[in-house]
Amino acid sequence: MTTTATNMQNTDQKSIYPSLINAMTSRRSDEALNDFQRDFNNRVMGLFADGRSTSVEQFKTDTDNFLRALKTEFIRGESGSKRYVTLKRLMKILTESPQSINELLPHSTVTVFVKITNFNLTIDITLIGHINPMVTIFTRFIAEELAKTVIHAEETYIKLLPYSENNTEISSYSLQDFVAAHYVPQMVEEPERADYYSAYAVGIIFFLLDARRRENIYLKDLLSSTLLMHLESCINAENNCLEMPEIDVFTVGQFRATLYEFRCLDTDRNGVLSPAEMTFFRDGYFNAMFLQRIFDISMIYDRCLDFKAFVDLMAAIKFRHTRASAKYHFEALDFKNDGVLDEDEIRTAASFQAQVVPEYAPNEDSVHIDIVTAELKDMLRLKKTGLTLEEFIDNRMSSTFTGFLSNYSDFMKYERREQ
Amino acid sequence: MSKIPISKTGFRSWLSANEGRESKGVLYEQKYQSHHDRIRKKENMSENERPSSSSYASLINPSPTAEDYERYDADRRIRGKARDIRVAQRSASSSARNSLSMTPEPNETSPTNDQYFTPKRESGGGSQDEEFVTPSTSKKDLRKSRRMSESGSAEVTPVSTKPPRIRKNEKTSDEQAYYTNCLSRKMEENFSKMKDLVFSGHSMQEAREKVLSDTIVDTSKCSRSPRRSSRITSRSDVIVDRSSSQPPPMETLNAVPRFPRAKSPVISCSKETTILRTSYVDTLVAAHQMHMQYADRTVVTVEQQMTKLESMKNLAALSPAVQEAKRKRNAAEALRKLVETNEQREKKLEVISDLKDRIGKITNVQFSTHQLVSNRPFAGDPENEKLLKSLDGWVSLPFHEFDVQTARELQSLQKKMLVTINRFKNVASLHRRNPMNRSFGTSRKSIAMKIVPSDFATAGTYSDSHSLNSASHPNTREVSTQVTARLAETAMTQTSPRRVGVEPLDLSSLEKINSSSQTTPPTAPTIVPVTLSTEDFAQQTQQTEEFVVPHSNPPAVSTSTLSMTAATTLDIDEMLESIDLRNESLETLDSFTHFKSDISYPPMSSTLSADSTPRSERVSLDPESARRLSAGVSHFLEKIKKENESFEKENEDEEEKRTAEVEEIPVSDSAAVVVPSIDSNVPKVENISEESSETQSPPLNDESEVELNVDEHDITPFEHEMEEQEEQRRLRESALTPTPPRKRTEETVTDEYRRYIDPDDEEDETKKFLNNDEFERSLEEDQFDPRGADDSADDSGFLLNNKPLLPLKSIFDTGTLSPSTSPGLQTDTPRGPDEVNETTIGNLDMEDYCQKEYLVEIGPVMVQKAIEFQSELRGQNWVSSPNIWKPPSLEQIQLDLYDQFDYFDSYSILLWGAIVDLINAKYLKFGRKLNKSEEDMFEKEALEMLQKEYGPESKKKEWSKEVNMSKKLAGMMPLDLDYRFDVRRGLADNEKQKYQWQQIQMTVIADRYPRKKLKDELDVVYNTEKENLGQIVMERELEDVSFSNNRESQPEAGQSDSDQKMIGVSNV
Repeated sequence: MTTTATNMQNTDQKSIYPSLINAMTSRRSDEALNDFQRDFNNRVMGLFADGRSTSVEQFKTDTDNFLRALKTEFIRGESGSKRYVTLKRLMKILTESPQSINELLPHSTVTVFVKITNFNLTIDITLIGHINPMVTIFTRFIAEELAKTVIHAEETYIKLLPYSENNTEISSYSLQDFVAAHYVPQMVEEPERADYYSAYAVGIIFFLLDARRRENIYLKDLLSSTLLMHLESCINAENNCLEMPEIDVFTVGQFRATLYEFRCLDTDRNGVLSPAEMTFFRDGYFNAMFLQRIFDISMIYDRCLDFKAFVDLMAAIKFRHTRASAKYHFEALDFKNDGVLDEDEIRTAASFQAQVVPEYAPNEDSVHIDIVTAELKDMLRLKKTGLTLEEFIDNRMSSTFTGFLSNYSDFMKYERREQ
Repeated sequence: MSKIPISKTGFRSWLSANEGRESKGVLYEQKYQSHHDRIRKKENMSENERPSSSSYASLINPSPTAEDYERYDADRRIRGKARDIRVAQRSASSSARNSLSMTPEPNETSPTNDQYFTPKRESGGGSQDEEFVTPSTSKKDLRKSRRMSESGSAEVTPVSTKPPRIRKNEKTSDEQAYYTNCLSRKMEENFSKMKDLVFSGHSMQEAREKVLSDTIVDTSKCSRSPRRSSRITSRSDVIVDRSSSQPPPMETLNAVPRFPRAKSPVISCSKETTILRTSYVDTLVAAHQMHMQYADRTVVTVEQQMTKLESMKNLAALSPAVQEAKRKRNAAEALRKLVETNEQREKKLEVISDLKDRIGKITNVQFSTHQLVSNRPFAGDPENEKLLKSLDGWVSLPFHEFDVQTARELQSLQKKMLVTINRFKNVASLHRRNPMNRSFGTSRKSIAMKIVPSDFATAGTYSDSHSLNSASHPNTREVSTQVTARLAETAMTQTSPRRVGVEPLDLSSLEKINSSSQTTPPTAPTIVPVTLSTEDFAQQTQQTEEFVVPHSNPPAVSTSTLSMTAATTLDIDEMLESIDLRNESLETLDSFTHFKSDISYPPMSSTLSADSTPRSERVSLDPESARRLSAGVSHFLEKIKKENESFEKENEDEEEKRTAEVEEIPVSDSAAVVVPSIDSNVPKVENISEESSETQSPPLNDESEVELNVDEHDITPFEHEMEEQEEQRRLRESALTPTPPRKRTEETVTDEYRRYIDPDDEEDETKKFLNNDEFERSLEEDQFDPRGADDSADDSGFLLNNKPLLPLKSIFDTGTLSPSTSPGLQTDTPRGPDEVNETTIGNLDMEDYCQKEYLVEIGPVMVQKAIEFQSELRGQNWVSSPNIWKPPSLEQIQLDLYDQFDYFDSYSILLWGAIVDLINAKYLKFGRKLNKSEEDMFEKEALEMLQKEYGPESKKKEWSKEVNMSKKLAGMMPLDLDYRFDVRRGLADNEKQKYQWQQIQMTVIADRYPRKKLKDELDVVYNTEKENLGQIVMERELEDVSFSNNRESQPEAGQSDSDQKMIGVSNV
């Protein structure tokens, strides 16, 4: 028995070793790995997470000490209500603090704080905020707030680790599992189906992180976008009947609305949206070409849009100001798929847009394609060679532009902006 | 097409209508007909054309109703006749069939018609002749009619829809001979007739008449044997009108048939007569031509026959040799076949291996696609597997069969290959644009997220469906109802504290109190009575109570305990907070909705937003200390220069010399770096002031009034506007009339001050200052409030505060000039040192000073220092870098100013930190010293950066740009606040703050999780674990060796700990 075990291990060891050396970063469920390697990887990840969590504990105590020290070293502002710490004192405190705290406040951050505070090169340490809106309103320090944020991120990171393939990235499905396992149970009023909700939330997260058709995202991106924090605050707000936070896409209410919209469109009830069904999207305000292009640029199944792609579309419309949305719209409007938006394409899009103008629209609103195209060209500062994706994203008018060319309501909004 | 039109009224009516006429149907011999058809077909059809089966396939005959049948059946007497007609029609149709009528009458082909009109005909293919013979009629009848008509099996059997095959059966040499005989006889007849006619010598008219009469005779003949005439006409027609290669014109396409073959022979004959009548010669010529052609053809065939015969003969002659050869050949053939089969086998194997190869490739592509898409093990394509298995069996197939099979498979594989490669391309492009992303095969298959339709999603408004939705799932419904009840409750309780907090009157009054307290001397915050803190305490506990309520519905007992604990657990933070003014907590209630994004800013008026710290709150130095500061800074700089010089000169221990060298080494040499900058600055400043004086000179008279008012300004001394006005006014005054204010200051400034402003000796100066009681006094007054200096200083000092740049600069100049005594500078500044000193007596605005002057001075020095200490600075941050080189601070300058003025120190720290950051980030990458060009680059960039970030320009930058976020992070910002994307909308301050806070959060977190760092961390764990594992494995091996004898008993103990270590391994 033991001999066989050892033999197997020997063979395993031989087979493993090169691969272990080659692939330093462990990945859990790689097909190329055998069970042993996978177990080993899991173990390493577990250890990593353990180390991480202990360091978080340490960090918490450190921050507590640091903040306490900070609170004894402050000056008051003129009115006496605000408290500031000067850079000199801050530095004095920091020199005595452990490394982790020093890392928390790099020079760049401190500079930003100073600039925000805008008071005698000091940092406004008071921050009237609320970690948990329902408990009590604390007067917090910027630094404290920051520490909380970082701790939150760190804890989330540790929670995410079991779901990630290695310690740097996480796949969409794992993230869905994570959301379903961690956040959905927290809700007082659970969504209709946990998997739908998680797909919805993850869809939006992936979209905003500009990873729409990617399988994995970096944990760094996920954490730094603080979307999970927003998710939590949404859940929190709904659980306690508080006012909705600024970013309320993750609320069950929003989710339900999206799901409802999807179902309304899905007239044949096959769970996906065909092009014919999509024509009724948003009362037909979106022009046919744009809707057609959505099918071209999305992951489709049997030439139908599934819920995830639909969520992408919703996110693109809702977060029109983001980079991801600009990219989405660029892809949709790039009819030739050549990565360049040129005049022809704008003209085509504009002509399709002009068709959407409903009958009840007053006559004076009738648009002349040439004029509209010229206007749009000006808006984008279109060059002869067209506009690449990067240029388009950097253009600050891109959101207006995409709205103008995709749906009637935005089109009208722009047309009547001067009225 | 050539059907007897069946009138709706029935056969009898038709008969009655057509009784008198001659019958259209002609019964001529089927064999002739078929023969004729065949010939025609040969002539008129192109090779691959097949006679249209349309007439066969047409099932279109309107199905006879019972009425029809009755009518028909009732008149049995005319049945025979009808059959005749039908037969005639059929034969006609068969001939018509051969004329390739592709487009039959629409009602014939349309399948829908068929569908609706003849529902029960099983195939109905050839049931033309059964249209009147209903199924009810006896089979005998049917057979009889069949026999009678002798139409052949083609018409009767519905299955055989191909006429040519049938006709083939019919053609016999007998018929052919008969026909040719007939034809030739006829031609001869015609020819002779023609000859007669030619030789008869009749005139044209006569000839015509004769021919006519002949034709009449012929017609009568024709009526007797119609086939002959019809034959001729058709024949002639064919030859004259068409080239034989062309298909016959479709008769049905032409509205008027060229010749009504299907009609009665009478009509055809009459038509023929008309033709003859018009040009009999034509006919004759045509006949002649035909004859000739025929003759030619026969000759050809005969010749062919002859050659064939001849060759046969030749062959027969050679037969024995041939036999021999044949035998030999056969033997060789057999041998070759054997060889060939071997070759074929090889070829087959080759092909098979090729096929297998292809399959393998496809599988590979499929596998990689699968890896991209799915997490599950790759099952493979079942089709390919099957093919792979069966391929080996194909070797035994005959070569031809094998060839066909493999070709087919090859083709399909090719197609499949293309498809799979395409799919792979798609998947790959969809999956990762980013080559860095390496996690292949880790993902699950992407599955469409199909939404199960809710039962009632289709109807109603959203709110309807919403409620319905929750209703649909019984458990969730319960939950939701419960929840709503609970939530409603909490909402109720929720509002109460908020209402309490919001109470507008209280808040405003408090605010007013607070704001009024701003004007009162700022003793309030420090002398907050204890009672207030306890009050605050109480309030806080109350608050906690109120907020706890929503959490724990049940009774007040628990809440009270909670509040108690909350109260007891209040630690230093809360104590500190409770010292704060009361209204702070109330204020926060307003901003309740914000998500930890409210950074409370110091109050600043909108007019000053461009500026930095509000003027009233700015740190400023009284004139005296300002002067000393600038002097100290200059001294400090000199010291640095000296150090540098000494550092360069003699690489000895600098620290020892530092103190000594201050006095020893003349400053004039070392001040090279500083002096030019001063040089450039001084005249500029003067110019500016002069310019401003010129432009502002006119409104002098008006200002005098203001001046009067300003004398009474003590009433509202802290109004920003007033102060600024005043400042401006004074600026103008001082610029306009340089002497009067100076004189005034001379009068007002106390003599003590003037005493200190002795530029000759710095060290002395600072010492004097330190000892000076009066200065101490002024500093003490400064302690609580910078503005206190205004009050404490005499009126003149106050009036002179916030002097423009000029005096500050000149302070500085005096400081630097005095030791160096550079002549150029002195000439530049026309005023005497005394004058200069007098103008300096104004409060020094630290911010202005630092940004505009100190930065210029210290920047290059810092850069120089950074270059000097570059190796030490590697990896240092702003906190640790002062250990390496301490930027100037007030203590260092030996100005023991009060701690309040941390501004200067902070500024130095900030600048130094920025430089250290920059050099670390951009220049100290490669672990070597910077070379000259790099140093220059760094110097340039650093100075630029300092100017931009910390100089006076820094205030002009847009708020959003102040946070240097990466593009990526900025793009992720979920808040729709970035004004860059919505230029038209002005954003409120708190929105901006929110945005900034969000940005900070993002950057800080992003800094904490760089990919490389995480990977390195993991690698450390990984490697240690690997080492552990290796050790364990080694140990075990050793154990194995040592305990090889008693394996069973011992190893448990030895392995126990290693087993524990190897949790992951144990599964194996």
